[in-house]
Amino acid sequence: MKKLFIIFLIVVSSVFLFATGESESGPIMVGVAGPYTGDLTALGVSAARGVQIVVDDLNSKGGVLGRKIKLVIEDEQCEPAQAANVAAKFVGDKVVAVIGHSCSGATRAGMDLYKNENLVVISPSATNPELTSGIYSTFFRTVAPDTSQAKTWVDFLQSKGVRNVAFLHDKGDYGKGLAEYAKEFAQEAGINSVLFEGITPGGLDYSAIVLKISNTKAQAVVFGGYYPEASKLISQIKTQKLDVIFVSGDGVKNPGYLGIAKQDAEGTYVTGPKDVSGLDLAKKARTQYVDKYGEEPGSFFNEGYSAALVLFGAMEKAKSTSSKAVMAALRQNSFDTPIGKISFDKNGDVIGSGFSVYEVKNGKFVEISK
Amino acid sequence: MSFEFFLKVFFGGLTKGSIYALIALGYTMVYGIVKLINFAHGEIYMIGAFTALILIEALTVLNMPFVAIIVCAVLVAMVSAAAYGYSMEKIAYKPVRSAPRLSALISAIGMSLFLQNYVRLAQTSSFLSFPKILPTFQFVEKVSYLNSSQIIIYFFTVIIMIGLTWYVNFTKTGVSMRALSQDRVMAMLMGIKVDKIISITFMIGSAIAALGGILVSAYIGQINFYMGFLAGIKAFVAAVLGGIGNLPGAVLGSFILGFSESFGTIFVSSDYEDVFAFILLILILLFKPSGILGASEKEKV
Amino acid sequence: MNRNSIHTAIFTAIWFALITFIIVGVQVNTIDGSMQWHPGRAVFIAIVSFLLSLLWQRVFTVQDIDLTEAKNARNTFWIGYFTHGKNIFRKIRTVGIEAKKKHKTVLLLIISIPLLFLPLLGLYQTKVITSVLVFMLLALSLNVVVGLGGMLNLGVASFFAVGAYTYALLNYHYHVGFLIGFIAAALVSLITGVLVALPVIRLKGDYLAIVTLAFGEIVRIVLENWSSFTFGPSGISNVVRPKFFGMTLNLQHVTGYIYYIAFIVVVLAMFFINRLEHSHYGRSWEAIREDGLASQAMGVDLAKTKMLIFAIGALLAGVAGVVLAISTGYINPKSFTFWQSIIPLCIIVLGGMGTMSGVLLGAIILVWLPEYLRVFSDYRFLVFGIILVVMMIFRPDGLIRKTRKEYQ
Repeated sequence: MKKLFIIFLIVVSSVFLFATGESESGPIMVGVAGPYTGDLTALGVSAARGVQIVVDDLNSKGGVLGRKIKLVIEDEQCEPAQAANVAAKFVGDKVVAVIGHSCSGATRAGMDLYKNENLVVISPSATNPELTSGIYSTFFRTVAPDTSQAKTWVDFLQSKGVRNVAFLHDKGDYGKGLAEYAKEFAQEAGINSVLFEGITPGGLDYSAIVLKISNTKAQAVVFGGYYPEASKLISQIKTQKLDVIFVSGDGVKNPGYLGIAKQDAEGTYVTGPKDVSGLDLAKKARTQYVDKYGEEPGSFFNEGYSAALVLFGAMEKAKSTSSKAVMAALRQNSFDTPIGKISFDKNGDVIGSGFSVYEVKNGKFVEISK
Repeated sequence: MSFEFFLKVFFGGLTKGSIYALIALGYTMVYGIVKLINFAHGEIYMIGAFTALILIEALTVLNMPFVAIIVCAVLVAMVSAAAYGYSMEKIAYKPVRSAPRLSALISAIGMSLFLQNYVRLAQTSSFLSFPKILPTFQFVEKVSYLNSSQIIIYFFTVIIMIGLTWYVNFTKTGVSMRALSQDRVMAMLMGIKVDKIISITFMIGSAIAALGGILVSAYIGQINFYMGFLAGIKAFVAAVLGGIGNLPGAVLGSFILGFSESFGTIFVSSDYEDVFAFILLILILLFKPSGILGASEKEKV
Repeated sequence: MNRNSIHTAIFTAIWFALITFIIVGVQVNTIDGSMQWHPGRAVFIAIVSFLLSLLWQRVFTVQDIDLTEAKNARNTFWIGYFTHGKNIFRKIRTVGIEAKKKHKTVLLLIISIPLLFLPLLGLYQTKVITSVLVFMLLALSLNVVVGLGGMLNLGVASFFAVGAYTYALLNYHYHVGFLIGFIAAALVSLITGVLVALPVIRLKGDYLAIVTLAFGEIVRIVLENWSSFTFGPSGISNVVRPKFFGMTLNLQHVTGYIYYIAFIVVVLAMFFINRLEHSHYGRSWEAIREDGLASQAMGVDLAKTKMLIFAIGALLAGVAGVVLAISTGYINPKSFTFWQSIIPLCIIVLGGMGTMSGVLLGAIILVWLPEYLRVFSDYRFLVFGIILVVMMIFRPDGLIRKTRKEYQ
């Protein structure tokens, strides 16, 4: 019986150990969420590292408002159920703001809780337009929504005089959404959609779908998705010697696309955030990343970095960490970031950072000025 | 639809089928002997590809001749994969051999998780490019419905199929494997060293998987720590379709899978590409519950 | 510890250091053309392998087991480890912890007291335990189908999805309330279970498993692609939470409310299954699992019984789906993948198939623990994989063994 009693005490007390405590002053707690394990890791890691770099920088100079910043970094694998749990954890850890999530689906799941707690949320990569449709008053993002990107695609296709387009996507939240908006805008502009299908990510061979496209009158192939699939697609398109204009989005504008597809990527078009590599802040950010992690930054690094700068900048300007003050500061000021001088509109969308079309020339992304 | 078009679809399906076959063969070998669905098999396929990649990169620095690098990398990758397979078996499968089958399955899942994350942490989670090591043959390039990489994949698939069949039917170890898979107790009574044969099976299966991994990575030009998982599931479906535990069955199932995906994409939609394969599987199993070439087990009362 | 074992340990250390050297010792990145050498990691692996090898050998040395000692070991749980030293590993392997009635009651008491007051501990804890409860329901579903019925179901996520989507869609289109939605989802899952069972019951063993896996994947793919009906990958958001006697609660309270709902559902499910198990149905199920042909000869309708078992399993999983939908408020296909079919399987195997307390224990370890394993961050799933393998090596029958009822 004595042993059982001991077990009982241990179990009960350990459960209570996990109850969280209060903290009035002390470090500023900020939550960072994204996929850091699992198959979508590449989408979240660089952004989180961007935030970390900014925070380390600020902390070495004494923090913000005299307080150090403490990041609570949690992995949710882009899975909504996990994202909801992470959101609850952030609330329990008493964070004052959240930078994340990476995927739109996970962000939606988290927003459920965040809007209730009136927490400021800044996402570096959740591009679903519904997030800024007005239902989430505390949501901001440092990346333009999918509708903006789809519009850029269609404008570009029109400028090339394309009349028939095959739309492909990766059946995911982001990719399919992009493709759907693109199709809608294209049809409004009088362009024909000759094919609208999804390919399975991780597939070994896309020759069948490319063959199918070759049987249509498509003059251009538009792909909503990420760079691993885009690389396989374009290689197959080139192998089958299909003469089409290939257009894809910011999920593909990544050194990985160039590295994997190599020659095959030449002459293809990719939209991405306006070219900022010339900006001093962007150069500085990239150097910081390379120094710290020993590799080139991946997707959404600049956006994550900027989200952090913007958040803490707003706190400084508002001289407070309260959500109301921070949100006001975000909406009333403009900030210098690696993605340019940006501000936010009333719905949380970023102003000053839009999409440009890039052409792959000589193994590099070259911005095409309109 | 022109004949040329049909040929293109056909060869596309054949390529997919061959790739699945390379992985499915290893799966089915292991299953035949220990009745275990080795979830970690896909991970060995991935590890083989990574090993080859690292070796190619490292040896290129040393300025060795190109062909020598490739041959060296492939051989070492296969041997290394065999070693992984051996270790994996000794650690995670041997101790649960006498346990309920389900426990071995869970152990395999654990092993799969472990290996995936092991590679992810040791290397990177991003997608890397795999060097173009497959030679191009000019006479093939002229043809519109085939390319050199596909020929090479077919070549290796055929060699492995023939090699394995010969091995399993004409060598002492091979015959022992078949004996073990039919009746373990009897095989033991006949003096067959169970542990040794099982280890050899795992090693051969792993080496083949590694080769498959290298071929596929070279074919699609990219590599990622997660690739084994998806390939593994497909190959497993293929093996069961043909009758698991059965070498020709694995190959047949793989080709059926490959063709159904290819033709399904072309004639219906790429959206539901995987669904065709699964529906086909269910239909086939309805009429032949042990798979196409599977032995219908007679229940003795 | 003798010379021989040290030699083996050294050999093992060298072996692992060698075979892992390529992957671990050299880190390449072909995108930016970098190559880094990590010789230190190889040394680390060698040392760890050496130590683990020594431990491994200790554990697996075959020695005579003293039966009386083994019998005493039954009551010691983990505390015994410290008192009985090195023999405890062998005891854990050979002697199971039988789910004795007094153990069960004590376990229930220990667990239920903090659980009853859980919402006081905060939003995060409540949400996590609600996830645990959802997976417990899934595990109970598998307990019935696999543990009691002997049919390996690798696609329980499909019924999970059916329940969740039925509830969410009814809620979205017709603003159906909680009770009606719940019942509707349960019914739809039941019917789906019967439909799937039709082709499935003819198959045996691994073939049955693969068909259930195929079905799980088919459901997932349809969910992703049939956007007009299922809203595709963007999923269904703003699932309305249940009202408390007509009042809409704020988020804090409703999370606690949902927790209690889930808790009650789980308890009811356990009760339901327990009664079934000890009824004449349960006995015929056990007979079927042990020897299908013999039980058929004794007059048991094999097909109908198997279908019933499968349908009940589907019902439980569908109910779990409803709880998931209301607790997270947002569902999309990513919550119903192969992974969600595998975790419940791991739970029942780890916990001990067929036992209730086993399901509880397994769910706590496999769902609750990874949340707290977050402290390992990057290594979370690596550790998880290791735990699975280790658990299977040491307790392949699961932590809590099922007692067979004896009639004397």
